[in-house]
Amino acid sequence: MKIVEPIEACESPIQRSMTAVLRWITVGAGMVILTGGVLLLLRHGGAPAAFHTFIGEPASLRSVPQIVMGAFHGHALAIVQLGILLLITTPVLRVLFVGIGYVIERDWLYVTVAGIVLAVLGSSLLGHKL
Amino acid sequence: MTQLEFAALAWGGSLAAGFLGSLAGLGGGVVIVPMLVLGFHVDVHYAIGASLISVIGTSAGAQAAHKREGFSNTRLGLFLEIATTLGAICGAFLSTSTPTKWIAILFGSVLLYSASSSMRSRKQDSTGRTPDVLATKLRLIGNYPHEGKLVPYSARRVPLGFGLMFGAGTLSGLLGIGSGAVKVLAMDEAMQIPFKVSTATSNFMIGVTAVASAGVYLSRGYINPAIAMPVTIGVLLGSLLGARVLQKARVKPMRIVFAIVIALLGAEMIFNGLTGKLS
Repeated sequence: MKIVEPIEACESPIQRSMTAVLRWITVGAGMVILTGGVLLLLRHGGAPAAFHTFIGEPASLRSVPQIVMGAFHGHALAIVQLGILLLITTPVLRVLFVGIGYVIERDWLYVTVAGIVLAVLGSSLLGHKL
Repeated sequence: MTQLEFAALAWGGSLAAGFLGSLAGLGGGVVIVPMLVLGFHVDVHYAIGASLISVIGTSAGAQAAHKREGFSNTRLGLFLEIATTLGAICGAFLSTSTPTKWIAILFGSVLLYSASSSMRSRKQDSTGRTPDVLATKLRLIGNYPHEGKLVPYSARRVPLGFGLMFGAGTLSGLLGIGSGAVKVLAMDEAMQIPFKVSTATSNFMIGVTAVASAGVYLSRGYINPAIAMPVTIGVLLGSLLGARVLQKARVKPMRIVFAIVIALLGAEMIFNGLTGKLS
């Protein structure tokens, strides 16, 4: 693949630090998932894997406060789920940062567009008492 | 099979899927569900949940690894995300009430389409036309490099593209895939965006679209951490590795192999759906 300099190369320091923040959250999420996974396999690695019928995850792995609480108590599955939650926040933050960029540019049309996308994402993530 | 064996095998399979997927330019997500369902007999809803998380992981990982987003048009992506996120929520709700049989058949059809679209050669002509009125109002315009110079482009048929993006979002939420092939179709064919721009913009949109349905999936208990963990880590590492190889070599044969694999998986999903083996 040929690497060509992009057109919109004029990255402001703010954008650059936002990209760095997203990168650290992504790496952090990966580490948390990996930690939870290692704990899970150390403790329950020998248990039979039965995923062929759908029962649905218990409430403790479905709501944010309970996931955080479980992870804090060292429950392996809750730690993995916490990492997944962290991963889910990265695209949301990306949209938020892009929106902030438009505020700085005073492009109100696209501030509105970013607001709509954030509202849709928010309704999905929070609308079900997540 | 024990949890450890499952994790190891699913991790290896996802690593290969992510690697081949990024070489073929399709993303590994599209083969995760068939792999889990056909290979490991995982329930289709758990498979979709795990695949969706791996799609978010791949998208976040790719953006963390590459400093720049190439020729992606952020305004175009953001505007179309209104359609994909709304579609994704619809898809996630539909997924709970759609019988496994139909999910399998639809999934197979999408796989067959993706296989054929990955083989299609994409032509590049979008120059020398008067800009679209709506696109100009929404500032869905930009420049891209072509044969050493900057060529301006403007989106066309915005409402059609928007509608197709809603469909892409619905498929993403219903099947737990990034549906990059449909996104690129909407931008290439309907909106006539140059493919260098549409591919980069689609990558930017995939993670956001997937998150819209992930909220619904999580609260409904579709996200099983024991399945999502090896799959997400495997696909993420595989796709980062693939992106690295891709910078060094052109991989036409790999593309053909992957297209054939996807087509076969698609046929098998449809067959299993029709014969009711998955319900």
